[in-house]
Amino acid sequence: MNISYAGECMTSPSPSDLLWVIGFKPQGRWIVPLVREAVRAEWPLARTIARAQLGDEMLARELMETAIEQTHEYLASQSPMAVEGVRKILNTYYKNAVRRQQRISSRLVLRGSGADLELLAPSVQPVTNGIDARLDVDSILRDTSTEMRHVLLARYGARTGWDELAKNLNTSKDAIRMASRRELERLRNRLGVQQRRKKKDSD
Amino acid sequence: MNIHRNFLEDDDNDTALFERLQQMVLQNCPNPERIGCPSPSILKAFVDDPVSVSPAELNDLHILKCAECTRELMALRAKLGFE
Repeated sequence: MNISYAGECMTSPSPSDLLWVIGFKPQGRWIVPLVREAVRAEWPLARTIARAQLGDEMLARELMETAIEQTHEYLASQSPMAVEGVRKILNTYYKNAVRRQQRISSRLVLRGSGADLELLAPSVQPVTNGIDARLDVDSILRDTSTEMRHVLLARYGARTGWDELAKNLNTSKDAIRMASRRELERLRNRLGVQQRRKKKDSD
Repeated sequence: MNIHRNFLEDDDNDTALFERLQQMVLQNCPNPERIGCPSPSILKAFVDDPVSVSPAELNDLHILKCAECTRELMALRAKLGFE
């Protein structure tokens, strides 16, 4: 038996063919022509979705079969409806099947250690590190006042000590460090630097 | 890159933190075309007297994102005997 979908020929026997022939119970016979028409109408779009979401059409037929089964199950508990309604249901089930497949594929890609991933994509890493570093500075200091930015720039660029900066700003070293504590903490976490613990008698 | 793995204890001036930050900028933020860089005279004035130069003159956070400016600042500090 051959069933043609939008100019494509499926060779018998495929699971799709079997669904058409034995997958439907006698009381659900009204469903068969509607689903067949819906599949024919939706198939070109289904292939496009598979290409766009999964990279190729290899699984499109299998996923459509899943959608056909689910559509049949759903329709079996419903009153007869127009083909447009069946197309909508089929399309929804098909898209869900594609999404599930996407999740499965992404889980497969993420398996393995960080070292494996570095090995797989060594040329990309330096670029992403650079982007991360730039983004971090902008996000770490996004809410920082101009005055405090100036202080941090002076520490970074001119290595001005906290004491000297405090003197210039008529405040204390601890006050400055406290005011920039959030930013310093974010930088520490990002760069892996631990803060020196204060002695108890100076607390 | 193992910056997250080797934790370094800092001094009272948070020097290690800023040294690490500098290292990160040097490694990750090349700017050979010197896009957005403050002039050499601004950088020199900044190292001589940081409070006299405003963040706007430094192009805000630019020096934290530019390996070339960071290198220039290092050289200027070395000249002044800071390092």
